[in-house]
Amino acid sequence: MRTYGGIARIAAAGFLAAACQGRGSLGQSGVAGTGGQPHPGTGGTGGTGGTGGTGGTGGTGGANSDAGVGSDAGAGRDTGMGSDAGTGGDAGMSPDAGGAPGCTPLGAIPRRLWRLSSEQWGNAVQSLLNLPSAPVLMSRGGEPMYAPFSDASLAVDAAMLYDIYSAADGATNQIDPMVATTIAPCTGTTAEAQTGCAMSFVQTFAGRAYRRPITADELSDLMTVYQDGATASYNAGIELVMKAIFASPSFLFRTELGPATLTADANGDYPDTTLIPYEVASQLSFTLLGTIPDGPLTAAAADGSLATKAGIAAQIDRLVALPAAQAHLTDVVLEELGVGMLFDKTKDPALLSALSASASAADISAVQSDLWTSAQRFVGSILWGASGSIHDLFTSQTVYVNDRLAALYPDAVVPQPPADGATFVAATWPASQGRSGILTQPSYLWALSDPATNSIVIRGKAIHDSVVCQDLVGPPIDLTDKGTMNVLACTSPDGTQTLSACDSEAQRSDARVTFQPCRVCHEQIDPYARVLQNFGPIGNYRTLDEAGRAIDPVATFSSAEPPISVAGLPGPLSVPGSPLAPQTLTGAQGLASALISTGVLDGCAVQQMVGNAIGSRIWTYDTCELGPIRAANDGTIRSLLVNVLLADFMRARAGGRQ
Amino acid sequence: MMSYKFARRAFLRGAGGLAPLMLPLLRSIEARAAGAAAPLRLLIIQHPLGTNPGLTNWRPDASATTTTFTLPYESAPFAPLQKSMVMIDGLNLLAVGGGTSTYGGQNTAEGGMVALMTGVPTIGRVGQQDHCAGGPSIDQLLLQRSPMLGGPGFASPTPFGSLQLAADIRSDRDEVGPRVLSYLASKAGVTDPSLARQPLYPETSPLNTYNRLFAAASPSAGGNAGRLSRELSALNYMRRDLARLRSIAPASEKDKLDAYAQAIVQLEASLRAKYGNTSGVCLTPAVPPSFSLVTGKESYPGVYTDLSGVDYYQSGQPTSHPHLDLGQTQLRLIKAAFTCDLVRVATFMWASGTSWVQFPGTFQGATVQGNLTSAPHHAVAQSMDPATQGWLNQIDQFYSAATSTVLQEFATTPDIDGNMLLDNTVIVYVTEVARAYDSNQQNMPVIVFGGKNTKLNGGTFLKVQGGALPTQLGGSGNRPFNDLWLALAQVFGVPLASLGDKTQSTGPLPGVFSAG
Repeated sequence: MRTYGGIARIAAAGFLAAACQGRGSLGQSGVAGTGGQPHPGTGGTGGTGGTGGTGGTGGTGGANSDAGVGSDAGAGRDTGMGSDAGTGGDAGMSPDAGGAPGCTPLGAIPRRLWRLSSEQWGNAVQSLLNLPSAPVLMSRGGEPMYAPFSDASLAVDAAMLYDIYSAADGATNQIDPMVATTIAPCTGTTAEAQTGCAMSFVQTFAGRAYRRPITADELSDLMTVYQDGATASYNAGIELVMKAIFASPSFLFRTELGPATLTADANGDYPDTTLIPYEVASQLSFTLLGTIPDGPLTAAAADGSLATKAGIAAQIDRLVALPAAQAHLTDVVLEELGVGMLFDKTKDPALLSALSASASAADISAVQSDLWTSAQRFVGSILWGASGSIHDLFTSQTVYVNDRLAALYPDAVVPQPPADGATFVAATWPASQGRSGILTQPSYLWALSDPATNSIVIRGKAIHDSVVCQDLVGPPIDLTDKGTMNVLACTSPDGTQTLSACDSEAQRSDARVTFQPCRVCHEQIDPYARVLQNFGPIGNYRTLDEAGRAIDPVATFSSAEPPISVAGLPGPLSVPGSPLAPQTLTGAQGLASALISTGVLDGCAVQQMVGNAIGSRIWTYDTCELGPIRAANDGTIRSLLVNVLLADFMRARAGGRQ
Repeated sequence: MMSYKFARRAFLRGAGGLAPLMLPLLRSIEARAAGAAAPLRLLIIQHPLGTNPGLTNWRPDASATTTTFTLPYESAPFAPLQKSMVMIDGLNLLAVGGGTSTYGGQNTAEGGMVALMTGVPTIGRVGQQDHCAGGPSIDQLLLQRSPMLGGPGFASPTPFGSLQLAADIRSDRDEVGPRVLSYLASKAGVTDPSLARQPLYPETSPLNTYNRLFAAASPSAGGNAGRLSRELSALNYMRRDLARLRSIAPASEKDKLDAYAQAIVQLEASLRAKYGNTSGVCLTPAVPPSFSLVTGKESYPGVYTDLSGVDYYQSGQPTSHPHLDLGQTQLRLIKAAFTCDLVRVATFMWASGTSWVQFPGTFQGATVQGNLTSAPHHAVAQSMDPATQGWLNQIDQFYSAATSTVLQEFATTPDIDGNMLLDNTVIVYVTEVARAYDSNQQNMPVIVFGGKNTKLNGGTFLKVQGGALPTQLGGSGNRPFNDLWLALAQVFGVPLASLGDKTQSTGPLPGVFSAG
């Protein structure tokens, strides 16, 4: 399996070093780090104008990696873009094939309280109350809007708790008519009878909500709440208990503390431990379904079977077969890939002329919903169908269309025309278009394009980050810097050499990968998107680009280069190569084939899924714990999930201090 | 003569449908009747990306004296408040590194934000620029220690402690450092700086702020008193549950539980405001509009943000200015919260230090280079192109004007002691770099506003001299920015001899406030 070093995002010493509070979903870069490849980090700041301050200090290099280099004193102007480009990396590890030698350990996951994400909270409430849809929280306590998973470092702030309490109020009002009949059924009319009903309800409901049996003290305290609420009515008492539970910390936080009997030693240190079965049940359920454990999973925790890997594997198999889990995981995959962005992207109405002469905002909105459904069907049919192969996600020639999408993409061959907007049928792309799986699905391309044109940068970066799991590219540059403006205009930075007419994305990309200061980043990003040029801003097939030139979807993926100095940037900077290098690829199918044959696709999938399951993005490809998972992974979704969730580090927890 | 109680009922009956609008005035009358003194408040307002191209357009020219000065273009909108302000020149921001990174982000917007508000060495950095705060921000430090600010450690705390609001929080790579002003003290014993820092993320929705602080209930069966009692029962349970978790959680998780505890305190205040006795409730300002987040997941070469916000204008709606409206609405909510004594400490961020707020390519008559339809603020802020500099000048002036409009309302809003709100409020207008084009952090642009009870030496242009730090243009020496915070602390009864690293403060800055 091909491996590649990258800039490590997690320091060897600290498991969660890279998890930026409130930003786990995107895994903010960790400490300038260890990595097999030369670190593009550069030295410290230049001096301030006028006084010619001292240059910064570069980091120390390590074995097999280049040191960061201190920058020169600024000449009246900081050569950073108002920001320091970072110190040089710490000692690098050599890039190795295979994980074991030179790999970076993940570090022990600490015993912790892991706050539910906004979505998980809503899903859990929906599950408990059998609501038609999950309540939506507007205040997210520092959690970003598009987080594919819940960051384990988050807390509950005042605004979020208020929102939670208000949403809980709304949810309990919604089910009020069903309280005495269905939710907490009670035919008794006396206070004593109703108290008995309430106690029975609370015992079960709180146990489900807290993902574990409740204690006698908890039951007693909750019954006090019921009694206070029941001064108004039975329903009011039940609803008050539910609200208290939904806003209580035992509901809001998943415990990963190990046995309740764990005690600290004389120094106040807890021993290392493992998750108890109820905590394992939560881990499986929130990872696979995004909500609380169901009855059979809870029973498996109670009867001890979740204390064994065989028991865990059996539950994984059962859960993954559930439509709810498949739907949840489908959405997780789509969010990880960035398809959710399609809802933020409007399109030039002219692109939708196949629908109507003047497509309206309503038309665009309808198409966006259609595309999301289409994407869900596509991913779901592959991952949860006969093959279950993640590879097939990137090679399939199928697309799901309703009547609107069939009109918008008439090339897709349908067995028979879809009857209406609600009916989606599996269509097949013509072989001549060279489409390949999710990379050329209209939903994906719509999400990763501009309103009227392709965007090589957006597409390239999405693949670079989320399909290849390459490290983020170098420091931002000033778009209005004269040299940069010249390159954006397809001339050399000094303006003396004109590269092209600069009237297409392809020509603009050529300039970016030719000239600095753009080349250092765009050489890493653009190639992934150049192979997709045959597909326009709504995923429409084309053979001519926007300037009317024939498209040649060929891209060369380059190996690492020695450090280079870039005028206008503190340097020198290094250019880590693509893990697909050195090769030249043609079209989406060429890219997909390379992603699969090099093992990059599978390797990145493992990285993403582990990060999802532990609540923190992992950026170091050569993370020791990922090696065995990759070795056991056969490229199917089941294999991925089982091997990730059965890994020992998923249940091990470091003790911590009292 | 009518008794006060009877007069009150008659007053409200007479006000009829306007009764709610009259309540703040009524509260003021009541307070004066009771001889109440108004508490002092603190508001820190940040605008992004300094001044352009240098300080020429911000600070008075060489002809200015301490008491006679003309505010140039970028600060001119504050002229109506000149009698109530001290403009300070000659403070250097020192971003000291520590912990896992010896580099504190000097001459960066990101490091500047953290250094500006906390004044202490950072405890490390996440990735490229996300400097992690090593201590509480000055507003939280004073909230914890001042007997005047209604903090949780004192008798009669305000219901909500403090407010953190913002108009826009989009930042490069979604980094936390540039988009947070307020921090609690960092967690002791936690080595990972990203986990040790404790940012108080600002609220960007005025409607959410309003609902939490001011929402009034509709009548319910059994009356509101019964409802309040029932709700408090739920909160009591939540507290007991919290106590159980505290007994089993490791120390590393303590701060999450502390944050939850604080959240319950504020939830209780909200519920009391909603269901409690209305004669004790201060009024609600008008319900703010809901601002649609029109952006999300943006990028330009080399940098991205996934956060959402609103821009200066919306495509196709050139006369709509949601960024302006949202920001001023937030400031007015702070004003109302101060007047109602719901909080006495607040921070407000116009936009992150790496602001993504899009302004039109031609803004207030100036056009950014490249004939761009629009541009995000930070993306072009380092430009030295004269046309772009002119465009950036307009943005700086815009923020001054937008802020000044609301601060002038502080000066005309009655406070409970019969003075105006500004008389009892210290407002500090800051930014995280002095010069946008190179992020230089000498001679930091800062204005302190305050009325008569704040002891501010209004009408002053204070040129700091005699310090040991280098100055941008020569002169007789600057002082560290923290010296201003030390002077501020004295106003709020918190004696602070120093703040931060030994290089970061030399003592309280004289001349801003009068002694005694």
